[in-house]
Amino acid sequence: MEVEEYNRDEDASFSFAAAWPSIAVVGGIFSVISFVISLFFGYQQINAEPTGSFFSPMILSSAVICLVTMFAGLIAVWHYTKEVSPKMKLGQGALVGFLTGAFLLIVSTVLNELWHLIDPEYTEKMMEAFIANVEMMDLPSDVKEDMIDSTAQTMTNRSFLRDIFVGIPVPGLLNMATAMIGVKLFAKKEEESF
Amino acid sequence: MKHHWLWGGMLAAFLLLVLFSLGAGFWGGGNGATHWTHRMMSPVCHQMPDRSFFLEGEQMAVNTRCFGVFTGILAGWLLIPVAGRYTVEKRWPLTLLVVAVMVQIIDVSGNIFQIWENTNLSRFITGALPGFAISIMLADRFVKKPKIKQE
Repeated sequence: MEVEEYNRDEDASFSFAAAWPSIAVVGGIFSVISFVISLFFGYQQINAEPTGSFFSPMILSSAVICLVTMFAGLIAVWHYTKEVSPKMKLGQGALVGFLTGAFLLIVSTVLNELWHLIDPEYTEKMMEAFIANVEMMDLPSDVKEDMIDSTAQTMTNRSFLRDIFVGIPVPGLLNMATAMIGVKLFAKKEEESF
Repeated sequence: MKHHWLWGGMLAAFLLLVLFSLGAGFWGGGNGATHWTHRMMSPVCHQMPDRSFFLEGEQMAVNTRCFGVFTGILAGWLLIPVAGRYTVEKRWPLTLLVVAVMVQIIDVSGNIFQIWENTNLSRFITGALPGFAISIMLADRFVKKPKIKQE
């Protein structure tokens, strides 16, 4: 790969403004993907007969979304090295990864809020479908109650700003880690000065 | 070691990530399901009680697999200053990551297709492996190259 990492004296040529399109494009695409996956599995859960299986569409969607969104940082770094400049330092990659994770979370939270204008009963229907499935599970009743309480608390007591403020650090941090892997994969090692 | 500020900053961040994962049992002030740490982790984890560890009688903020991933990342990150030199221009960190991810996929698939039932401990271990491998994969970036004398 014809790419190389930034040298110390080339730092000034890293334009933070030039990194924003990568953050926005990749963060935007991944937030739409995670939103679509969550809606797909959400409506699957709503329309499915309760089976009592642990691997309900809702659980699957949570696992898939987590896995998919973790790699947004890596892809944002790839996009930057491909489209803007092949040079990027490890710390710059980490910053791009954090911002991509943050942008992704903000856009997907906005999309979720907008969906509630289209289908105001979505959360309620999801909750009912989830409870029906949990009730069918072969688990002790106190565990079932805990599961229902925990999910009900998470799904109902939501605040848009709190979701964003409290939710940003974790996806941001995970994307920082994958973005640094992106720097390792898509940028050459820094030249040492002898 | 180079990039020591970045290493230190990330170490602090990963340590906080693990501490936040411990949830209400560690931080106090509310039960597991309504705690702020639970809300913080909700974008990345399903947080099912029967798949989570409990600390001081309170459910942790993440399930056992996520807790394994976070602990593995922290453990690997702590080892970077020591292990870094053994990873420079070596392929084993990538092999380790691929194997760890494969083990994860096999473990989850076996459970989905009801070939076996995994436990909280097995989920924790299979989560910790890829987390550890992610950190080790980055270790060589923190190793200072020895200077070569010019003739």
